[in-house]
Amino acid sequence: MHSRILRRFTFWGVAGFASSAAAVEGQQPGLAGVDLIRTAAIAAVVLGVLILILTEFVVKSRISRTAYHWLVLFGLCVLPATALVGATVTMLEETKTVDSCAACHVMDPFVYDLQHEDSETLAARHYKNNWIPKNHCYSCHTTYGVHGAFEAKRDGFRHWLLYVTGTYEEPITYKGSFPNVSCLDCHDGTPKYDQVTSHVVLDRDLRSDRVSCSSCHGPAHPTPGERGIYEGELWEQLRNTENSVY
Amino acid sequence: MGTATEHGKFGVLVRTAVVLAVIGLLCSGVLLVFGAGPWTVGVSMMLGAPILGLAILLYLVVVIRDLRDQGIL
Repeated sequence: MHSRILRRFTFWGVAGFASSAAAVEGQQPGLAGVDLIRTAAIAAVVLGVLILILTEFVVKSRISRTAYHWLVLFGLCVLPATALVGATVTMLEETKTVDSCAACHVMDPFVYDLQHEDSETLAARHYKNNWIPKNHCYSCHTTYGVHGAFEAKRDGFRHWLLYVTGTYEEPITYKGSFPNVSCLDCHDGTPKYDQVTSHVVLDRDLRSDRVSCSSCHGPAHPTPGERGIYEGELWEQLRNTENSVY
Repeated sequence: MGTATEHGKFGVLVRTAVVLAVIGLLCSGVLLVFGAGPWTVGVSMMLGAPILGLAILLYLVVVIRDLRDQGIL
């Protein structure tokens, strides 16, 4: 845990300058916007706590009313607003990552299957072949546009609530049906997709979700019966491997 | 011009807002430092954000009442 935090701080401290310089030279993409916002928010938290404590409890009797008002205004409005925006952006971005999904142990079998090089499930094949470059869980479990993002966040909140209150039952199951648009958005119109006769014949049914893609290609994840292989001693060993996200 | 303590009519409210803001900022920092997980999101967004919001609201109440006292509003 400590090394993880240290790595993160080192990243923020050094990468900010290094990556910017390297980006100029075209060596790497540079510091992402969300990292910049996050760094600013951390600075706002540290600065805010220091300013508020010092102003209210240490130097209040020694400074002018004007100076006090400006410091309190800065510490109570500007910095908290920066911290709030930073925390919200960080949460919205980070909850898209596979690591974030893996943070809830109930997702362990799914994430491990996803990253298991021998797994042949639909999700694992997408992952190991890099068919989805990043945010693999989020990409498939979110329909597109603002509406899709809103639904994903709403469902995420519901899942979070169930998890922290322990009010869920295992094995967990997918409620509803998986919308084909999540598959078609990438596959539709590609030569490989159009070559398959059943795709052409069932085109209308696939677009209207009368026939699910997973009827032929699924299930995307291990079924409740298959999830048992990701438990016990082997599972513990795999959790502790160097490249594990757990 | 006097010092800040000599004009502290709303001192208790401001101090409450300051304490709440410090708690809220620290809670928000948990998510920013440790990343998104079930408990960090809970502490930061479900606890820290409302506390910070309350602190800002209290400060706004103080500012509005102060401006009213001075006849500006």
